[in-house]
Amino acid sequence: MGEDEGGVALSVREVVKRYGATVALDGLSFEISTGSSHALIGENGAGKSTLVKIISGITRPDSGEIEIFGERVRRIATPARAAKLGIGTAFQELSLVPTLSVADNLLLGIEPHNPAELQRKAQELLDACEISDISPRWRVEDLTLPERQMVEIAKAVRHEPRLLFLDESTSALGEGAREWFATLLQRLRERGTTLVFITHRLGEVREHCDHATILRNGEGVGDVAIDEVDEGEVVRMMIGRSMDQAFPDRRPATDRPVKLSTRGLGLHGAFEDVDLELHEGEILGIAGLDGQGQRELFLSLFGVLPFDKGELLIDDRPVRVHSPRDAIDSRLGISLVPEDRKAEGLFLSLSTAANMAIPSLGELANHGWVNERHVRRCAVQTAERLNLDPGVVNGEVGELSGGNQQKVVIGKWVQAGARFLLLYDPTRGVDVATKFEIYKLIQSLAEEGRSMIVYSSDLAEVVGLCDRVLTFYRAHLTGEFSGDELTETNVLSAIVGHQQEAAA
Amino acid sequence: MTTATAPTRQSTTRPLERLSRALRARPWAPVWLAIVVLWIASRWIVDPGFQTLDNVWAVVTAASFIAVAAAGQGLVILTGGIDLSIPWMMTLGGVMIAQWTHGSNAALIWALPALLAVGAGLGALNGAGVSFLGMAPVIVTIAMNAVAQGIVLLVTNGTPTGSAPPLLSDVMVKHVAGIPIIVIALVVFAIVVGVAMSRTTGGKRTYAVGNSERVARLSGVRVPAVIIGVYAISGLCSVLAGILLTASTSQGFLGMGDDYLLPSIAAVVIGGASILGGRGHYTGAFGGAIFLALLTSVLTAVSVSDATRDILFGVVILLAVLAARERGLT
Amino acid sequence: MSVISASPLRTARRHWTDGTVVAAAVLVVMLIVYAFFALLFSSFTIQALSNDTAPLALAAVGETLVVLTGGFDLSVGAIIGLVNVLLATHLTGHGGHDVMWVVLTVLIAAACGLLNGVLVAYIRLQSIIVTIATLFIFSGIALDVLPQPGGSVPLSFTNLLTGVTIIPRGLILILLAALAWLALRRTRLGAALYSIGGDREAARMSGIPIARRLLVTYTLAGLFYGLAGVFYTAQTGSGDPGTATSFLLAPFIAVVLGGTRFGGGEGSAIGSIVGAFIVTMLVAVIFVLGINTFSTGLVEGIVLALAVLLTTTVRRWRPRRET
Repeated sequence: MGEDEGGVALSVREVVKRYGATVALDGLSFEISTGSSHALIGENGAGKSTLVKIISGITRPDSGEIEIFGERVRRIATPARAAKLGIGTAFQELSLVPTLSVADNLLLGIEPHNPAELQRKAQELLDACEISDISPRWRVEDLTLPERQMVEIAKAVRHEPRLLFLDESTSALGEGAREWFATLLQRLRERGTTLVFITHRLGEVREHCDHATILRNGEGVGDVAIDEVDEGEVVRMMIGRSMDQAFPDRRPATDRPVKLSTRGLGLHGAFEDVDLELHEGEILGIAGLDGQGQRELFLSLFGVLPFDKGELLIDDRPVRVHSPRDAIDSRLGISLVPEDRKAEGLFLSLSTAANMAIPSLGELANHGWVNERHVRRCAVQTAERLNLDPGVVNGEVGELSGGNQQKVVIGKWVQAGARFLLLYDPTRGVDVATKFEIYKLIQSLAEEGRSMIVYSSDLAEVVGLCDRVLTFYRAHLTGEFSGDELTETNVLSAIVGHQQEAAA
Repeated sequence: MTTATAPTRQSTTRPLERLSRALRARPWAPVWLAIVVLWIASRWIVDPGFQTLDNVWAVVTAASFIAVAAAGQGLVILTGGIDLSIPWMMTLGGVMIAQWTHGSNAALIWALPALLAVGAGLGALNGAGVSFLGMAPVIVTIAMNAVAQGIVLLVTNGTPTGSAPPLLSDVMVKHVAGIPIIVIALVVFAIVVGVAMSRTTGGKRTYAVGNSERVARLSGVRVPAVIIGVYAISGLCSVLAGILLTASTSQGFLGMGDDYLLPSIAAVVIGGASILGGRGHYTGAFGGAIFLALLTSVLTAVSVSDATRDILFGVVILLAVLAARERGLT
Repeated sequence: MSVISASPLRTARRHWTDGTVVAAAVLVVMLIVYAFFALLFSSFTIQALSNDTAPLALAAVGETLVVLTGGFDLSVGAIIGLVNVLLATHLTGHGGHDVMWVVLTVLIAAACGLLNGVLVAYIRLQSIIVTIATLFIFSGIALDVLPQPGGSVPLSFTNLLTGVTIIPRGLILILLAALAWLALRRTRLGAALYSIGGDREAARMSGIPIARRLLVTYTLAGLFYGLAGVFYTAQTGSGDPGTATSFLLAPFIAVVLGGTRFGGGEGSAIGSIVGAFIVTMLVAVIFVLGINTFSTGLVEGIVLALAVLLTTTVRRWRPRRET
């Protein structure tokens, strides 16, 4: 239907953007036709975010040309200019100020002088987007992540844009707001809005888009009509080679001893009656929609949010975990690979060696004295085990790619001798190629006898990687799947609450 | 120039880039370079007679107060905090050492450790306020500054008495093997602080906390212990700096620490530390203190007014942060 | 699930967890204690209280602007000191000439703020370091203008500002500053202050011209310091290049007592004005309670810590999902 209306909404020609020595966009060219739903697909670092920032008036390109609805612009100097040109953007990192109210945020930068007017306009905008459960008076910091994403989208359409960029919007929206999102897209499309999805999830591309441009290393490597290609081909274009298999082989279910178990574990307002058993060397998956309590469960097991009911047993003995320090304690050896790698997992401006050493400083040091060479030697050993170039141990962790950073996070726990690894969405924002390496790493760590609990927002990942999967729904464990029962369909219906009784 | 080895990938990068890389790894280096340049230039700014060994000792002695205070301040800044209680903590140390000893060497044996303990204790309270009560470091330490002021005024009833014991004054003036005791002591102090920062678990954990408190906590670091520790050390350093000040003036007076708060921060920043925490080393802050003292000494030698000196201080601080920004550190 | 309408209880709780309200409550308690022990408020005490508070309150309003953006301005005392020595050396008692000098010094103060603003907004240096550096520079200039305490201002100048027109003129000035703040709050700049302090990156992505807004913020702050300097000079009647020291930390105390969050994004200049009153009242209350004057600092420090603890604790009780 897009092509019938004719015209080009956005045309990007030979756009180049460098950050110091790194080239983010290397002469990128592509076109999006008016009224279409277009996807920009690429791995992390392919240049998608840089392009969004250039089109939204946040970053300036070094060279190249952009044409918007036939109007040629050399560069878009400010976000206000972008809005004038009819461009709206829902940013992946969200352009919301947490301490301000929803109303303040929706009209940030264009606020009317009259506070009553502000409230009214904000409410109108929320109504127009059919967001009924969020008051314009609430503070953004009180909203859940999916709610914030909804507000971000509402903010992006405040100027009624003709060209709307949705930068990884669906990953934060989660399964719960799927229907809302679909309806909104439908309405926007009817209004003639051209939609641009920036994503690395192929599933939703098929669901929402008619065309796609594939980016690799700052260049466009292909324009495809969605109906005419299969996913394998798109993946091959994204990573520049074919990938035979998305997941390593699943191992047969084991009858090894239970190493960690919980009895009636609960945390007020987060989760209740959690009974789980984790075997030696097992990869146990947790699946659930956003905000069902699984995040709190992970934090509880790691001592960040100590549980207030039930007990946690390790090697059949009840243990106290009141802080991460308790959890890390070498007798327990519980460690967490957190959700937000940069904010929770890494000291970005310290070296890789220092990052890996911090949790195990006690063992590395001799009466409080640290031998630098010993620290480096240990880091090199760990790096080799993780299939990470040992040359990086002296460099700052912040300069590594997302996938390698994740390896460092896992590595620091391996070096600290963790017996249990809690991995919360371990491949979020990790490129396709490194994803596979991380899966292999998780498996090899399991084969050494370490036990893993993995949560992932990507259902295919939980199902593909784990030996057994437990589902979370409204603060409770609702189902267990293994062997032949472990399929995406079964897990999906459990996490949306369809077969709550049946599975329990 | 012979090409004995084939050019490696490293050496093909542009020299400017290599320099910036080298400086990034050693943010404390420029201040030492500046010290050397200023010392050499003093030959023309003042006259060749300025470059005597005695003048070297004089500059280091003058730098000692800032250098000691900057050790604690630097550690606090490394964790992302700031210690504004230095003025009256220094005054507390300076006034109380005179008051308690009344010029008696014997009394020094208990007075010195007792005062250092008081400093560490009050500093630890700062740290507790920051870590347990979650208050902004600025506020906690301003409050502690007022409390220290109150303690000094209460104990002295508004008029400090006594004088520094001769043994203490000797530290500032006597020489051993031709070198002033204070210079030897300061160098030992600098080495201890520097080594502690880079080679001990405490030092490593301090960098970790400064980089990210959250990550540190999730990595099993006892964050409150680190925070309380650095503020305690800063309290101790402030009191020690005050004691040294009294040792050189032989008497304590109210407000004697007022002029050292800003230089203590300036020395840390000139030394290449980031005010946001996570980056910096005492090698730099120590250099910063020496540089400020050398600059003062040069300017005094050419009879520049206090007004001009202050303005130059300001410009130097700006230049230091500008240089750091060029290297991409702030 | 959604309960959008606010219950009266939650609304009340929202107000009680507001920093300004807490500060006002603290001030009222102090006024009551003071009135109880001093038996009454004479019009003289109100005048003295207003005049003592005015310079600090004006300085604190300026500082609040900077703190709201997540910055930190240590040069406030130096700017006040510069204005102080300029006025003390140039006022003559001739109307037109004096008015020109007052305007000029306030403009100089704004220019000092502008310099801070350029360094912070366009050169992108950390505000705390920038203002330590400019503190040295401005107080160096002040020292050059007037190396020793001295100079004087015409009595007429003092009387003009510290006198009474129905209510003390110091109080009028404070109220004007509060009104200026309320007006500012409604402008784009006012909204920008909060968003820059709350999340600078988000503000940037929303199209707020951050550098320009920061520049204006620091300049306006300088303007308020200038007004504080003018009033301070009228009140003390002489010049002192060491003024910087006495205004180094006090404005921060007022700002934090008023419930403005360090790091930015939350707070109000009204709160800071209340905070300035608390600082002045504290000395008066300690005096009427007959506490040893030497322990003033001790009491001040403890009260400051407690007051801050109160505002931060109370802030935690803020009902979620209500603004």
